[in-house]
This record gives sequence, structure tokens and C-alpha cells, in this order.
Amino acid sequence: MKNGMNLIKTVFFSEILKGLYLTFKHLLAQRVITEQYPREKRVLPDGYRGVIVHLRYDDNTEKCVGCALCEAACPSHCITVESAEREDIPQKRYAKRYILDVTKCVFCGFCVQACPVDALASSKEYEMATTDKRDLIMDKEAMLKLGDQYFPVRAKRPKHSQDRYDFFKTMKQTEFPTVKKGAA
Amino acid sequence: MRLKVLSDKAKEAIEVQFPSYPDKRSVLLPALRIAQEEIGYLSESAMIDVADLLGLTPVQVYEVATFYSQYNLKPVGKYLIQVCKTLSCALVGAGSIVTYLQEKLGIRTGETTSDGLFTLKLVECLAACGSAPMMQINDRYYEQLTPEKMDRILEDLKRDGKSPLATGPFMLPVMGERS
Amino acid sequence: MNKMIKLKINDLEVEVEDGTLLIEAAKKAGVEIPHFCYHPKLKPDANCRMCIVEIEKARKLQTSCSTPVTEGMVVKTNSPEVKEAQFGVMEFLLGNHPLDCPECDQGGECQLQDFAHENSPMTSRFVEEKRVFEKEYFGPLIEKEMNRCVSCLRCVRYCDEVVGSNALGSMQRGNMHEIGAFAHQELECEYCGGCIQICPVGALTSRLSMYDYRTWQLKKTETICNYCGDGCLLTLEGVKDDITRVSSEMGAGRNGGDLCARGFFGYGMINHAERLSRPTVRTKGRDLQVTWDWAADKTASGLNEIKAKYGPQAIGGVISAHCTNEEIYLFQKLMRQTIGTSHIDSSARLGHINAVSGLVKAFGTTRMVRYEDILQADVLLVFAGELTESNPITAIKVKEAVRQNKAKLIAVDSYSAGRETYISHLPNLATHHLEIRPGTEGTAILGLLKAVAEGSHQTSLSQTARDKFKESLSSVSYDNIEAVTGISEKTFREMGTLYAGAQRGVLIFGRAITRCEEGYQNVLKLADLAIAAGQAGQPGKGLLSLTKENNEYGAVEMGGASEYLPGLQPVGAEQKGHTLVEMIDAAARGEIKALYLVGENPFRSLPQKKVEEALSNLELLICQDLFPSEVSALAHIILPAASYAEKSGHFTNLEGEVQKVRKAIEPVGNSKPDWEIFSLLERKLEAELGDPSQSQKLEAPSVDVVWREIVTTLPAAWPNLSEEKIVAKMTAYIENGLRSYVVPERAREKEEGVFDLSMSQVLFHAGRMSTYAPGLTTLLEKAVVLIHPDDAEDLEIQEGEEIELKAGGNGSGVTVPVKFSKKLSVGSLLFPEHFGLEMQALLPLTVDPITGVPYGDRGRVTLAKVSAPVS
Repeated sequence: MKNGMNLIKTVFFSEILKGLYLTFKHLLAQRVITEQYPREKRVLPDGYRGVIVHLRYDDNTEKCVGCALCEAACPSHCITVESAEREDIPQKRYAKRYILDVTKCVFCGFCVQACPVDALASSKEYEMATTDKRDLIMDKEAMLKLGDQYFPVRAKRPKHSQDRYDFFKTMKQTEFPTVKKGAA
Repeated sequence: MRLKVLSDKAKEAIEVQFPSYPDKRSVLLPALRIAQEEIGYLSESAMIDVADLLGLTPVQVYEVATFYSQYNLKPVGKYLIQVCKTLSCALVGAGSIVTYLQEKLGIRTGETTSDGLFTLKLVECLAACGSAPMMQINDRYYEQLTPEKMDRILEDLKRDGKSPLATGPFMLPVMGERS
Repeated sequence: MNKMIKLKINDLEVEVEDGTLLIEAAKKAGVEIPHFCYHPKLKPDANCRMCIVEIEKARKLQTSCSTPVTEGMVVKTNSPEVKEAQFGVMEFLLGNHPLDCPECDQGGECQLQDFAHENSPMTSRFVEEKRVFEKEYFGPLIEKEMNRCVSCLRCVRYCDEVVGSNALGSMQRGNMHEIGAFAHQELECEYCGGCIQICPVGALTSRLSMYDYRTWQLKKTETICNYCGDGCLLTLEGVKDDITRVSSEMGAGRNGGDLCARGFFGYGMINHAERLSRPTVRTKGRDLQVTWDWAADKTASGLNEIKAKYGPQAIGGVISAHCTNEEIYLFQKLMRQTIGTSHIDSSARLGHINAVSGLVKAFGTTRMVRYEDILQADVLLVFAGELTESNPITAIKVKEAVRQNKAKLIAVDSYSAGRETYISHLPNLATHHLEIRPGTEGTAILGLLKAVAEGSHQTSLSQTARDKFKESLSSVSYDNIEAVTGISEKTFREMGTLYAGAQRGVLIFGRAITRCEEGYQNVLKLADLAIAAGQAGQPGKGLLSLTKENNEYGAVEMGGASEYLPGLQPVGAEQKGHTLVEMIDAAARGEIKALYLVGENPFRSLPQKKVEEALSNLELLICQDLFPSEVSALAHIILPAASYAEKSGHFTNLEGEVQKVRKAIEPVGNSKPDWEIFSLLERKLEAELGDPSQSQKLEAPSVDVVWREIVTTLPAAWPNLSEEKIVAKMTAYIENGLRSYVVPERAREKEEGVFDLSMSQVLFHAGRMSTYAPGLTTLLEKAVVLIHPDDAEDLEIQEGEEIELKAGGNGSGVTVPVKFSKKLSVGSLLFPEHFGLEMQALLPLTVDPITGVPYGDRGRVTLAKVSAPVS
């Protein structure tokens, strides 16, 4: 009996038909599922990790403080940070040079997580195809530009601590005139 | 060794103290007091002079001078108001006393009024916790302060140079003196 | 050996010496107790309260950094009670600490970070505002960020206890406590960088490397500093091939982790933009930048040509004592063996050779005193007033001996004991200071020697030797000595008794002896003094010669001197080549046709006109150096050498300790380490001499091979003699060699308006090299002449004003700005030798008749005020 059923199945290619069921279903349903890229673009999920970009505060200043934690976190060593002292605000750190080598980047997003000031973000930019590989080595300006494009809503800059400084200055028991040695 | 601002008299007064202490550095507190009495406050040159006399570096003198609120590093007015900011006084409103004085005199703590009369300063406990809040003006205590009382004190001082509300100076409280 | 004490820490049995602090005992048991204010170098202060532990039967928790161990102590460092207390301390510390770890240069090696991860409650109950201090530049090289400070006072205590410059203070109190300099002024101190190194947090950081690195990016290499003879262990830390920071591990190396301004801030010359970077051949006035192969060919053929034409003795070579032992050995081998000349010298000729010749003659060795001996000495006799400036780490050891171990310090020099700002000054520290007139060191030694020889102290010296000393001093009278030096007989007698009566007496002498007139004779007199006082030939006693350059000991021991072969084997009198001065003379006469100058610039030590004349006379001048100089301007071939950070080898410091130098970065530009250049040249020369197999060897042998050759072929390279041998040599020396001493007749009169000018080292520079380090030039950028304020007042000169110095009232003068310094004696001027070649022209040059050392550091000048420029 069992053998008979098997014979019938073999003769009528029932397994093949079963396998091709899905194919025929889509063939006959007439629904196009190929995306017509680049004429139409897919809506990306929220957690999508595209090219890493730099963000700014609402007053147009960049968030990055040049701490190089992203460089330390990067598993593929694609980030290079050279930091320096800011000329306009002495003793403040900033990234003088920030290089992201997209050719090496694995889009893991570790750098975004490592950033202590939320200066980095994963954008949804994925169209990085180029004929010149050098285009894929991004500097800070390029990353800021992309960041502006993808994150138009900016965070507020934390208030400068001048008020607090004034407050504690009055607490000081004594203080000298601020004339430093050498000045008149 | 030539001194910058201290007179020979002050120098002598400091040097007289040397035998009373185990080493020269120990004379620092009296030396600073003598210097302050002479000039009215401790200027940078005065501190350098004291350092030279005691064989210290200027910064070793400066450390001590900034630690104690009894030393003034800036010229002070005729009346030096020292308001206690330590716990007992703070609990019963030393803060509001200071704010009141600041507003009334138009100065912040550590500053002197433009007429050179009053200097306002916050100090640590002056050992009159029983009658907090309190302040010390020059050598006299003024206790259990209220805004009205302070108005009177300041007016008295401006007018007569002294105020009947003052108590002290005293080493030990005299029983039954205060009502 | 102290009594051993057993105690229990966290149920672990541990046995330590009596007097050990609990925190150290715990460390020994492998238990780390969190701490901030405790530091092994400093006395316990117990101000941070972080290291509290529970001790059984003690009523309260105790600070383990200030509690000595006792027998049977039972200690718990991790009980809930302890943890709670530590959490409390941590909460207070973090209450005001800003959250700027990502920006902070200390981030990653911060003790607060580490301990906060282990010992903090992770949340804070403080809702109040954090205290905020204004950021301050704390002087040109140090950044101060008081918000990060945990008030452990390590920096202040280090400055007071170790360095002794007392420049830092702790101001205000309570919440507003801060570290600072006097009256919020800029710091004006020794800039040893110790406060930066010892700070557990990022409150004090170096401005020089601010934000240039994160600690985890640094590649660290332990090597030896190349500025002075102290031989400090440095850790060069760099990102890629750029040295960004220097540190020294606590307790490591001969320096024990202490550094000076030159070591800590002087690394900038390594990556300096002006470094010579390509081999250059100059033909017909044109500079051709060539490959190493070509340059070596050119050099070899040039040398061979001259050798063929005039013979090997027409070639001379001088090497700098900044080079490693291997390089000096290879150089002298190249000159003596491959080329065949005997004219070889090194910059040890400029003074150190006096000490070596003198000490070897008297004791057979130069290795007598080590730093440990200084620390254990009870009397130190120091003939180096500028010890802090010339050898800062030796100075730290002397300070420790005097302050901690209560040694007596007799300082003999021509400085005054005035206190100058915050730079420690030896005469200030001295328990006995003999301020002698400049240039009368020799007479002062005689004064001491006479006191010692005629004194009644007990020594191991035989009666005959004693009589010999007395006899040789018979013509010396104290009247003369006093007239010359200005020190009374009584003082000499007291000091003589003190030195001779010492249990362990150490004699230290520096530049004032070795680099000034009568240098060789004075070294011998010092040797006599030590022998007569019985302060030599026994453990812990002896003489120590300070050196200016880092490898002067090595330079002489490796044969970098015309009178010594490697291993201090003397050269026969007839084979002895020219010394540096003689070479320049011979070149001027036209006898020497080619000179090979390795890092040595005779313009800096000899009269420029003569040197220029001599060098232009040469047919071939090879200059091998780091930076362009007067020599490279005249040279026919310029070979760029690598600095100490770019090569391996060994340096010998002033104690005679041979220490390893390690390569930290690749040679800058196209430069090569000196030893590589020498072996390249050697192969080229031998190939030209018909040994073609040599040219096949393209690879230079590794430097270790050279070192092995030195160690195996020169067993006597380091004459570290046993006490018996030293005593034997000493006795022999006394028996054949005591001369009769004479005091120079004239007592020099003080002339009105004539000043004693001396060239000397300053703390912030060493030779020419340090003037290329940006950190050090920030501290002292250009030449200033130091003058005592009293003199300036008499002449009505203000600080910063320019004065003109003239020698003997004729000739052209030199104009320099003045700076006041109370440490000088009245009537003397001091000029830093690192700047301004013109100043040398004012000073007369004499040459030592025996050792050939040129003396040109001292002279007399008149001084005139330059009319003030309109500003």
C-alpha cells in the first residue's frame, strides 16, 4: 500500500510540484516584489546603521570633544582622532582632525555607543558607491555635513557654568586683583 | 636683608618672638599679626617681608594667611563686619543676615563700601553659638541679630562710631550681664 | 635587619619588617587598599581618609597609610563597615569632581577613576551645585584644573619634601581649598614636573602635551636621559613616531622616578623640525642631498685620498660624549684601526678628563661613590655650588641626605646663600657654607688639607704618610690662604675636623674644579684631601666627579681620548695623538687635513676665530650631527645622526653605572644612528682597501654584537676595583707622588667696576641641544646675564635692562639683558653657556699643560649700562 502511494507520487512529480508551489503562487498572483532602486527607495527601519556622522548643538557648534573613545572602541581601526586645545576657548578640547575610513568601517555602531557626549550617530546613508576610493575617507567636515542632513533637530547646548563660577567666587574669603605677574 | 614695607619696629617686634618658639617658622602667626597691625592688611610685599624674616618661601606664608579669616589680604574699611557662617548661626538664618547686609550696604562679601566704612566678610564660628545669629564688628560682638537690630547697629556706628548693642570683647561670658 | 612582625590582613598571614606601614604590608600581601594621599616617596599625611581599614580591638577605623604594623594585628580591608566608610569618602570626593573624564589627559590612568569604579556607590546624594574654579595656566608649562583636585596635597608635599623648592602651597580651606603659587601668580619653580607625575588625578597636567594623546595610545619605551651625567631612567611615551610625553616610573632607575626640567620637558628636540634629515655632500659651494650609500662612498674615498697623500696622521676625529658606549668604541676603532690615526678625542676633554686622570692616578678607579653612598654619608663635602643646575638628581640625593638623614653638608663655592625664588640652591641647604672668592678653589682645598693633615683625628693613615703631608704643606700658611679665599683659619680647621671625623664622608666636585683653571692639579689635591682625611678606600667613602654630558665616563672608558685606549689603558707617550685643542692648532698649521666631528662643535668651546680658520684650512671636514651648526656650515660632508630616542646602546652615568638605552622611535627623516654610520664607513673603507668581501655586507651588524665585543674583549673596561686594590694604589700614590704645595701669592684685589664673569649651566638647559626643545625654551628663551640685585642697585640697573660687557676695557662688547639673582655673590656675573657665542670672546682661554683641557669659563669684565631704548 505504502509502496503504491510512493509510486504514484513519483510518477506525478508531486514533490516537485510542491516545491514549485510558491513559485507558481507568485507567478500567478501578479504582484511585483522587486524594488525599483534607485527610482524608488526603501523605508529603512529605525535601528538602521548607515554611515557614522557628526552632530552639532543648536548653536551650530560641534558636539565632539575629541576624546578618542570612538577610536578606542572601533573594532576595525577605521577612526583616527587628533585632538588639540581650542583656540577660542582655552583649555577646551576638540578634534583637530577626525578621519573615518568608510572602506574599513563595519557599521557596528560601537563608536556611537562609546561617545560620551552623543556627538556621533548612525545615519541612514548607504549610498556610498564611488569610482574614487579616496572619497570614502571622510573628514570631520564631511561627517558634519551628513549629520546636518540626517539630523536636522539638534540638542540644546548645556549651559555654560559662568553663573556657578560667579557664585563660588563670592564664597571665596579673599582674592587678589586679577593682575598676573608681568602685566604692568 | 632689606625689607620692602615693614618698618624696623615691626621687624624688631617679630624678632623678639624668636626665642619663645622652637623654630623660626612657628613665629609665622604672630609675625603676620604684627604685619597686619602695621599696614592694616597683608599686602603681597608684607608677606614677602615676613617670609624673608622667617626664612620661608612666600607661598608658605601665603598658605597660612589665606587659611585664617583673621588675616585680611585686602585693605578693609573702618568697620570690619564678620558674620559667622558656621552651623549654629546658619541654622537660625545667618544666610538671610548676610543677604540683608549685602543689599543694605550694596556690596558682596569680601568687598568694601565705596565710602570706606564697612567691609563685609564671612567667618567661621566665633564661639557665640548660644546667641546665634551673630556677627563681630571690629572687636565687639553683636548677637541675636535681626534686620531691625542691624539697621540700628549700622546707624549707631555711622553716627557715633560705637553702638550700645555691642557685647564683649570678653574671654569668658559674665553671668547675668545679658538680659 | 629590623625585627619581623607577623600580622593578618583579610585572613592572609603576612610577615613584614618592624616600622612598615599597614598599607605597604597589605600591598605585600597582595591586598590593594584604595588611597590618594599616600605615596611611597612621601611622609604619611593621612588627609584623604580613603585608606581606612578595620583593625581588631581598635575602637574606630584607622588610616592604613599612617598606622605602623604591630605584632598580631588583625586587619580587615573589605568588611562592610570599611566599604561604607570608603563609599562615604568617595561620595564627598566625587561631589565636586567634574564629569570631564573624556577631556581629561589623565583619563585612563587616573586613580580616582580606578578607585571610583571599585569603591563608589555609583549614585550620589548630592543635588547641590558643584563647586567651580576658573581654569588657570599654572605657569608656562603646567595646566591647573582645580575642579578635578582631590586635595591630597601630594604635589605640595613632593615639592617640599623631595625637591625642596617649596613653590606650591595649599590655599584657602574647606570647600574652596586649592593648590597654588604665591598670590595666584604664575609658578616660578624648578619645573621638575614632579607635581604632574605625582598627581593622582588630572588636576595638574603638562601643557606641553595637552590633549595630544590618550593614555592608551601611548607606546612606552624605557631609556636613559641624554642631558646630564645623572643617568636618569626615562620612559619616552609617544603616539606613533612622535614623542609626546616623558615620565619616569616611581622608584625605578637610578633616579628613583624623580626627574628635572630637562628630563621632563626637554623631549621636544627629538621631533624638532630643524633636525638634519638627509646626508649632504657639498661640492663647489653646492649642497647635494644624496643617498647614504653615496655619502659613505664619498666620505670613504675622501678619507682614503688624504691618507694616501699625507698619511693617516693627517686625519683627526672628535666625538661627542652624548653618543653611546658602542658608538664611541666603534668610532675610536674606525679611527685607530681602520684609518690608523692616533688623533682621537671626545668632548670629555672639556673637563672630565681632569677627573679621570687625577682619580685614576690616585686611586686607580673613578668608581667610588654611588647614590646610595651619598644617602648614607654623614658628611658631604661639595665643591659644586651649581649642583641643582648641573646635576639635579644628584642634588636631590644630597638634599635627601641632608634633610632626611641629617647629614652635614659642607659647601665650598663662590655663590652666596641668598634665596632665589623657588629654585633650590645648594648653599641654602648647606649646614656649613664656605663662600670663597671665584677661582680660589685650589687654595681652599689646601686650607682644608692643611687642617686635616695637622689635625689630631684618627685615620688609617700611617704616620709616615701623615708626616709626608705635613711636610708638603710646610710652606703653606693660613695667612696666605685667608687672603686669597676670604675664609678664616678657624673655619678651615673646623671643617677639616668635621670632614676627617666623618663615619662616611663623600666628596663631590663639579665644574668649578674640573672645568676651571688648574683643574687637574685641583683634582689631585682633592684626592690628597680625601686620603689624608681617611675618606677613601673604604665602603661608602670616596670622591664623585659630576659630569655635564651624559656619557663622559663612557667616552673616556671606551677610548674616546688620545691618551687612553678602551678600558682606560694608557697610550704610550710616543704614540699619543693630539687632543682637541692640539688638533685645531694642527689644522690651522696645515698638519691635519681632515677632521671628522661627531656631534662635537669646537666653536662652542674654543675661540671662534681660531676654529674657523682651522676648519676652513681643512681639505675634508665631515660633520655628523643632529642639528645644523657652525661646523655644518663649513663642512664638506654632512651626515645626519639619530638622537638618543632613535637608537639602542649603553650610557655610563656619573656613578659608573652602565645603563641600557632603548630605541623608542624610528630615526627621524633619513638619519641613521651613529654606530650604523660608523660600521657603514668601516665597510666602505675596508672595501676600498681591497677587501671586496666587505662591500658585500650590506647589513650593519646589530648593536648588540658590538656590545658583546666590548664586554668580551675589554674585561678591564670598568675598573671597579676592590677596596684593597684602591688602598694599595693610594699608598703607592702617596709614596711616590706628594708634591709641595704653594699658595698663589697675590690676593686678588676687588677693583671698582670690574666683575667676575663666569659661564655656567642653568637648570633649564644642557648644552646646545636643549635650546631646540620647545618646552625648555619657554622657560628660558634667550641669553640673560645674572647679576646680584645689590650690584644692580649701585649701578642703577633695572631688571630686563640691557648692559654691555667688555673685557679689559678694549675691544668690542657684548650687549645682553640682565636678570637679578640673589644666589650670586656680590661682584660676580653669571652667563648661561648655552647661548651667545660672542660671550666667549670676552673670556681668556688657557690650556691645561698636562691634560690639555681648555679653560675658558671665567674672566673679568667691565660693565656699562646701555642707554635705554625708547619704548
